[in-house]
Amino acid sequence: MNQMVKDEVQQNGDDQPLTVGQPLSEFLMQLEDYTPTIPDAVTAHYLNTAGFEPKDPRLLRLISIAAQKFISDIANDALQHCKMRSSNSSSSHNNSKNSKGTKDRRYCLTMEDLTPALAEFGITVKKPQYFV
Amino acid sequence: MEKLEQTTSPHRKLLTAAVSSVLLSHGFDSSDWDVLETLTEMLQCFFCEIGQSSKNYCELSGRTEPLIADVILGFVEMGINFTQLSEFIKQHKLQVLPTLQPQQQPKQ
Repeated sequence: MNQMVKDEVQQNGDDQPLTVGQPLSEFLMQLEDYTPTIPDAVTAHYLNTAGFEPKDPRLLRLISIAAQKFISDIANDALQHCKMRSSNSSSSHNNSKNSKGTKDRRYCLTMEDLTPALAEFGITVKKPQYFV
Repeated sequence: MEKLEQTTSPHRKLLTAAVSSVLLSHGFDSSDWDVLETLTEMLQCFFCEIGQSSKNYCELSGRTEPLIADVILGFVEMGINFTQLSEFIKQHKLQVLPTLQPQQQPKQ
């Protein structure tokens, strides 16, 4: 099976056809040790609703980690937007108390930050303002 | 809000908990409810989408048992670079949600 995976990867990764296969097989070995935040049972349930029933638990792990990275990248982007927006707004409001305020600032994720972050991923979110 | 929590499934609640955990680990202290719902819905769609495309690739090859290659082809179709995943698990300490405790039904 590993040989097959390597073949698939070599077809896909045209840039480095010889080296891409090797880290992937190492990565699959590592997957057993890493526990993703999303529980395996939840991943399995949603995959089953799509008709996908893997026997290999590493498949579940791989999909869970990919999903977590997806959310993690969006969260990271949204955090940068949040920091940028709050630093802009605080510098325009008051300059004297700013130095202390930025250190222990609490960040709250709002749609205002999430929408531009998702737009960078090519996802357009339009929520009606009155629906909470 | 209470009515909403009663109608959502336990799987979806766990997805929301996972999203919240990721947000906390990135340094957010709080989040709006609609943001959390949006991210949960996206996560759920992600699972359904990767499940469907992997299954289709698997059946296209005349197999019933999905292989890792099918999932990787699904990732490629969704535009996800799976070579970055190994860096991701090295860089981030993945937090594990506490295991669920069986809930006692209050006696009437």
